[in-house]
Amino acid sequence: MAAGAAAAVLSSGRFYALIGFEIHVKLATNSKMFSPSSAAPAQPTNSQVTPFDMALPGSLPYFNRACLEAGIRAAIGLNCQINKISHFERKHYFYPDSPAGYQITQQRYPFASNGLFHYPLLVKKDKIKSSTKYKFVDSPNSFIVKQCRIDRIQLEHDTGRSIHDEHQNRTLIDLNRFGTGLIEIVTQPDIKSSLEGESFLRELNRLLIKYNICEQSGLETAVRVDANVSLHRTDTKPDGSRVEVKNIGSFIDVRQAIDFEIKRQEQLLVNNYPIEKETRTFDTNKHQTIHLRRKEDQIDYRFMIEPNLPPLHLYDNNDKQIQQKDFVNIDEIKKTLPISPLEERQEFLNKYKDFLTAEHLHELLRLDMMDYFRDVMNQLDDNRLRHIALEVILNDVKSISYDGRKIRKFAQAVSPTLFADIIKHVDKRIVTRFSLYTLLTLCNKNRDSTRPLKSFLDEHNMYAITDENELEKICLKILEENPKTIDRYKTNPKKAIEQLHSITCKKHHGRIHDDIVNDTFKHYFLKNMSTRLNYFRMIFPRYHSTKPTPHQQNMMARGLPKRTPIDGVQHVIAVGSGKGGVGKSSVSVNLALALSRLSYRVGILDADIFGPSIPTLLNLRNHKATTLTKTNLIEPLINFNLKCMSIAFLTKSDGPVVWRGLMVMQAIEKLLRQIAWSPLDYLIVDLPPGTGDIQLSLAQLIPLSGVLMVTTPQELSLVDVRKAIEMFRLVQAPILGIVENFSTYFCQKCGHEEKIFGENGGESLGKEYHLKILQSLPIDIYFRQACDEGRPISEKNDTILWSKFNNLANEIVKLLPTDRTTII
Amino acid sequence: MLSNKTPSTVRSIINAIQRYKVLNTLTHDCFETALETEQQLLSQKKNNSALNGRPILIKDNFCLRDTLTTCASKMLANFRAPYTSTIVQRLIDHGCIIVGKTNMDEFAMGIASWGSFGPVANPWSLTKTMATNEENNQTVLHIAGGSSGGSAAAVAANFVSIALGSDTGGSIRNPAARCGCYGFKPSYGLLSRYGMITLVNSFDSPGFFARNINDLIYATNAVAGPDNEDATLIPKPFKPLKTSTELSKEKRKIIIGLPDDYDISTLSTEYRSCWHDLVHQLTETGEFEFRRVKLPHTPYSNAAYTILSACEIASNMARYDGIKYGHHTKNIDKNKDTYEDIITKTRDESLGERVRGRILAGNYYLLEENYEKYFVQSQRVRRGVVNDHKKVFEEDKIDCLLAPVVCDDPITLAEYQKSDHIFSEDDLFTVGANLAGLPALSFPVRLSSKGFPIGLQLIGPFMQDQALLSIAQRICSTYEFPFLDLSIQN
Repeated sequence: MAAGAAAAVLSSGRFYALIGFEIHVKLATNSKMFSPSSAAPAQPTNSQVTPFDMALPGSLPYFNRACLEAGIRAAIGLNCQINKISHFERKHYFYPDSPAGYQITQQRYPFASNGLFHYPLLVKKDKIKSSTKYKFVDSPNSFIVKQCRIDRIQLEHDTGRSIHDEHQNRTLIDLNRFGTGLIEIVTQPDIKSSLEGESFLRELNRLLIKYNICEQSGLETAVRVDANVSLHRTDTKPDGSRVEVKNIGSFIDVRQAIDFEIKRQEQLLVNNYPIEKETRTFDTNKHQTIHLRRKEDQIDYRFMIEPNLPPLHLYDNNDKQIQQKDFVNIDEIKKTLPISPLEERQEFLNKYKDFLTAEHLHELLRLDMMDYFRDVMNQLDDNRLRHIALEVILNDVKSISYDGRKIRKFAQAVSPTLFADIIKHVDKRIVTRFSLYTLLTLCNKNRDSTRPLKSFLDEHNMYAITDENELEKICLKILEENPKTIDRYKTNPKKAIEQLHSITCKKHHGRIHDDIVNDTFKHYFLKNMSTRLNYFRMIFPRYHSTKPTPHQQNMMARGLPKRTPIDGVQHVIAVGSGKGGVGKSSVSVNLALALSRLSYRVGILDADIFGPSIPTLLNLRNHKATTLTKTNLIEPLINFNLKCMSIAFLTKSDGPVVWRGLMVMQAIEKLLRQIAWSPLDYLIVDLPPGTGDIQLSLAQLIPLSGVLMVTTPQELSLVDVRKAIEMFRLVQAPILGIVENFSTYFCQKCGHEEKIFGENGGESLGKEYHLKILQSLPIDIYFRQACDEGRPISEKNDTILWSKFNNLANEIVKLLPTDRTTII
Repeated sequence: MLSNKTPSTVRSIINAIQRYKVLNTLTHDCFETALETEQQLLSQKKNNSALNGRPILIKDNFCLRDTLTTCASKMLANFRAPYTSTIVQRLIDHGCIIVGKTNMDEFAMGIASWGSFGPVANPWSLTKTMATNEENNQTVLHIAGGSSGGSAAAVAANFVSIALGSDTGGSIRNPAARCGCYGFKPSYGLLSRYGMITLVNSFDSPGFFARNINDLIYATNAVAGPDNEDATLIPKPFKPLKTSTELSKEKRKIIIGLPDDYDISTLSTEYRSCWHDLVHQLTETGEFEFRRVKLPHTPYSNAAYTILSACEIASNMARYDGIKYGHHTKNIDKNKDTYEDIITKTRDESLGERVRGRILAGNYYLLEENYEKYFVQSQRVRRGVVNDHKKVFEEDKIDCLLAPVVCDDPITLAEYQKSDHIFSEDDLFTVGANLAGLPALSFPVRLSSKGFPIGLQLIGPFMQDQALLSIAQRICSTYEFPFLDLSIQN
């Protein structure tokens, strides 16, 4: 006990939780447990009712053998001792949906007891490593297997359904469900956390489905759970007092209910309140448990042996009377059972040991994709193909099915046969690995599972280009269009081929195999410009690998500050430029406003320590940030619905800031960490121009979601932007794209368009670095005026400029989507 | 056609029943359908059953589709059963004509057949007085026994030759002895209980009244055997009982036990001497041998029966909430009354005092704290009773037991109303067979000095119904009982 308890001690350190379940499982039988009427769900009300189901006088129960067999299958699966003689009992209580005034169940003599069930703990891998809460039984390569003792399994029937008609203030009764077979599985309090509880129930559910005990899913929930949660002092033994949370309908609800209940009871105990024995219910909307009744108020069910049913006799091969045909033989049932999910996983590990690891299985389990995996494996007859399929399932399918949450829908749309077919096509290189994801998404969206793969490929022209002649033509065209890459090849052949490759892939979306196209280019260069050195580099690229080894990486990472995200901020976008005066700050402010207009929570940070301009732009000049939150953070100023922070809000006067680099670094850290930014969807950081301390500090302090480069089209500006781009690449900050400012000027009088700063500067830069021009912004006189007066442009919604910002914001949202939990 | 000219049996039965309305044997009649059925049967090809075309009456706790099935209770006063019980269906299939539903105690609880339709009168009362005016009915009419009094009285008066009843604690044997006819309770598990409104599931046995043993055999043969609706039945196929003519005339010596514990102080001298006289008479024939036997659990059997039956009654009656069928209170305060209030009112209004008393007691015995003390203890007594009988039949090699059914002549309706004991001493004689599930037959022996029939019963080993009836046949052929016949118009 001590070790187990210690493993689950709660955060307060003084208590541990014990959880036991009572699980009601609706048996998958055609007819009801004690009457011949159909047990099918969702039928017209009261259409499946025999005299027994409405408790007509003189009616009698007759036990359904199928229910018993399902129960025995469950008992075997849960390693229970099966009692050869058991009794049915009546549990009396008055409720309109229980027409006889009692329910037939098993109380004193259940048919199965004393079981033991093993289940794998389903915890994310990173959590296993970081958590000290869980002691591991097995090696990290295997599952963490937990066990839970089963107290008993009893046979009983379901009640009818009360339908409350609020309009006419009455309750109507539907007896269709009354009498359908259930088993109730009662566990010992061996579960110690919500995670264990959920893992247990998921494994149990797999077993129940595998053994055909209950339906996979249906209109009515097949499994309902009562959770008994109790908290105990670490220095005492459990005293049996507990709180029961009744009738929980889903795994997630179970987890939340347990978590809530543990927290609630812990709070009470910490404050020295006693825990009352009570029955509670779980409110799925508020995610909390609610008091139903005290244990003392519970009625006496006046259990009595059901006199209309003889004792239930079960037999096994040791019994002599076995020959009689209507006797139920446990051993016969055992023989018909498929292997359990646990054994199945072991079998997978043996069968597919070439490529499948326990970790893979664990991930498949966690994502609920085990069944799909098995079905796909059965469709493929080659381990190489199976390996590809596994990888695709754990990557592409995982993300398409929202981490397995929509896996059933996916499995319906993309049948295992279709999936196997796709894998075969990829393997035969008819479809490229790049278009696989798109193809799966298409198939998933298409609800017709009978549609053949060919029709998808034909419709969307997804066949890979493999014809050598055709490919060569394409490559030559690309080279023609990108003459610069040929020059680049002379200095950096690897980079050049990479560039050409990515251009080709973009142009023929998803239809190019990367190795073939690389070979074609290499071939071309080898043929046309065979420098010895280049030849050498190309044949033995790994000797010149620019990628550092892990050891080198570790060495390099030493001494650098660790990047940690800002609490409550989803994305940090830096807006930078090479040169000053390209309108960077006004772009930042207006982008922030545009995002804010799209109902995102946006903040803006003026990182220009030496020349802060955001206060002016947002009409916050001479304001100071002086308010502190409870957690000792500085409240940012808010204007135009933007949280806004600048060094100018913190320094005493409007005078210049004269600091050395180290102080600048500290100041930046303060602006990032000690401001109450949370909650934000986007934080826009307006960088100072150039490639200085501030840019470097920022990139090393926090993980940047992306960098926007602002530039003007003239060559002078572009030179510096290149440096900036190189720098951000060096610190591995992703560059989202380029915003070309002051691209054109529309004459106020005649509407003539004049390209003052030259043409195509941005575009050529974009091509050079494979960056997208996200937006080209014209010069606008009103914009200039508004900026100076602290009236952001977005106040006037109708200008061309505003719509351009709006597009820019939309582009950003597309590139960096947020988990929007709340919408302001 | 010839058949039209033959006088209708059903018609004459209807006339007789209507003439003796004072006996109050029926709760509801099915005269119209009975006449129609008779005509139908006459025009049909005759089937081989001995029961074909036989008019019968059934106790009002057997469900018959679309017919009122009231259990003589206000609770089910308007209950038309939507299905037919197995036994009744089998009787219909054998060509029986159901003439009506017979009167009984409310939910078969009692020994006077006095439910919400009033009491059944003992037909022998009419041999002593013709006064049937309303005023003196209560003092000149005697109780017919119960709870299947209506069926017993109708057979004793020869309205019909066979009637269906049910025996939970003696409800067939008691009225048969009081009215002077044969009443047979077969072994538990031989006749399906499906569609018979339950009193005590583990004691209830359907059974028949008749004026000769062969009719009992025909009726039992027609209905006995497995039924996929009743899980408590013996699963093996039923071997039809043989009538006296079919049996070989082997004259084996019969050994009959006389249970000492049944010779109680309240047994009247006249009834005791009737018992002893029959023993002497039979011993003299040389075919019978009598032995005194002990059934030591008998003194406790009544208490055990009372507790066990109360428990099952409380449980079985829980379904009568007035929601799905049956009486529903009109006295509802829409603003105030809860679901429980409405149920309480419904049950208070419609269930008799005796029924409510037993429900209360049963629920008390079943409380968690009392369960061991009462229910479990009573089951121990029950097992004791079963073992007592087993010992007598197996170790003492007794073929059957001969015992009284009631202590004394029936009391008048007025006297019955004044008496306040819910359980009668007579139950002691009958509940033993129910606790042990044994077959038992009540048969009339002679008339008492006051002119009422005196009956005795035979109790046989479990599932030895054939042997029991054969012995009864041999005993009854040694004397002649003066059966009453009110069907002949004087």
